[in-house]
Amino acid sequence: MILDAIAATGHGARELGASSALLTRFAGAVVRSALTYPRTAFRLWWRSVINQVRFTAADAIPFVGTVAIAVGGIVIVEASAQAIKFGASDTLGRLLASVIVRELGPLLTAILVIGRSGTAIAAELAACRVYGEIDALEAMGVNPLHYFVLPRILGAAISVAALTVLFDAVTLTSGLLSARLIQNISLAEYVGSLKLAMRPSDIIAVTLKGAISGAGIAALCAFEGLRAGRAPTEIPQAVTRGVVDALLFVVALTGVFAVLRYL
Amino acid sequence: MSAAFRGRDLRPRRPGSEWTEPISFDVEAGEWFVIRTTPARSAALLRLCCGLDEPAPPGTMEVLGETPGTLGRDAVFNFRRSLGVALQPDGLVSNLPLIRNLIVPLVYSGHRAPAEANARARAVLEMLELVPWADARPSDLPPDIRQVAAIARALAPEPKVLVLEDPLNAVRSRMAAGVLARCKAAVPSAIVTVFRRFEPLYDIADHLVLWDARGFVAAGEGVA
Repeated sequence: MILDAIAATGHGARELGASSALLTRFAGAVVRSALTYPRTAFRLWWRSVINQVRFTAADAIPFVGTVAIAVGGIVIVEASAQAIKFGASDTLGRLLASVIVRELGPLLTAILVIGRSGTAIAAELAACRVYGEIDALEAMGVNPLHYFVLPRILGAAISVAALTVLFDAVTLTSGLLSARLIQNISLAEYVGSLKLAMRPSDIIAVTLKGAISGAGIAALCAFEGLRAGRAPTEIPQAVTRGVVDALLFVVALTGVFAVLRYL
Repeated sequence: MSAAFRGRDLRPRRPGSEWTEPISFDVEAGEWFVIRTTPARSAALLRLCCGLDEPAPPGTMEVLGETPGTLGRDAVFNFRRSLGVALQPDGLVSNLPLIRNLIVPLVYSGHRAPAEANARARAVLEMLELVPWADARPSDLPPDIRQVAAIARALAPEPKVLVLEDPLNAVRSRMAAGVLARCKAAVPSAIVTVFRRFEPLYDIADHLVLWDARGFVAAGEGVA
């Protein structure tokens, strides 16, 4: 029993080590392929990037917007109720800035993008692997990282950065409306407390965090999609692995940004 | 005459293949070498020819004087630009219309700028009488047209050699003979596998061999 547990731990550690090595090689290959991009493909490449932005950002606006409205209403009503109860309504802005704008907004946006676009990227690339599309292009001298991966990484980085800013803006606006309607907090009070807590550098940091999240989500989901074998049953497995990797990545990234802010 | 393909003591690295005994062969430049075999052996051999897999040591696979298994990542992509490949499954990109399936490999492999690639793709579609299907997606193509489309994609980069895997098994013999004749006129060197007797390929082959568990056991017109 104990030996089995030790063996299972060892096996798990070995698998993790092998996956990490593969992921590191993949990251290196992605960077190298970005430097060796064929000039002839730039026009088609931009078209792929724009398609990715349309799918990941533009088409997701109603979904992300709805979630942002709900989150803004819930968090701000709850937070302002507590703040008023403890006579700390002047801290509301600081709370909103740190909880929603800096942390919850980027994290929730990234999670929504993982659910909507990360799964699509992993499933599409795994299906391409299963149906021989990647092998066929590779056999004809096309680097699959050029065609399948780089446009998705750039498109997702632009999309998540834009959606994060949108999410924060919609959340704060819906929070204002909720706070005014339910807690009767004035616009001046609300905006004043936000101004005290937020700096322009927050917007830059949030956009940067969104861009890194987006690039990471696309890269990890693409990595798992491309790793799929040749059986159709590997498609859902690749999607699951992609989602788990991407979730761990965005949570870790949130932690890193939080630590960096207070260093 | 130099060899287009030269295999020595070839065996695949991947376990579980039907292919256990090493094989050696030469395909001379200007020759269509047709191998009748099983899908598993065919897939393993043609992946070696394209540099998608490496042979088990001490085997070597040379194509056009290069050893794809020993090339670095960028060099192997450069090497593959000399090949026209149609494997099974055909690997036509499902979300692109047929003409873009020809254009994308030309542009992304650095062969041609988009405008030139477009002109070349149209010329190949015309040569193989596929123009009416140019804007159809692969899933909308009948199986026979889809197979000819895969060959069109292989011909588009004007390759030095062709690597074809059971290329026209869904195509009627008369149409297949026409397509193969045009392929041979365009690219005189090829390695082609076939899974069952298929007269149009047998007719066009310069060398025809049967490959079973004993290796290459028969050659010439006696293979059935």
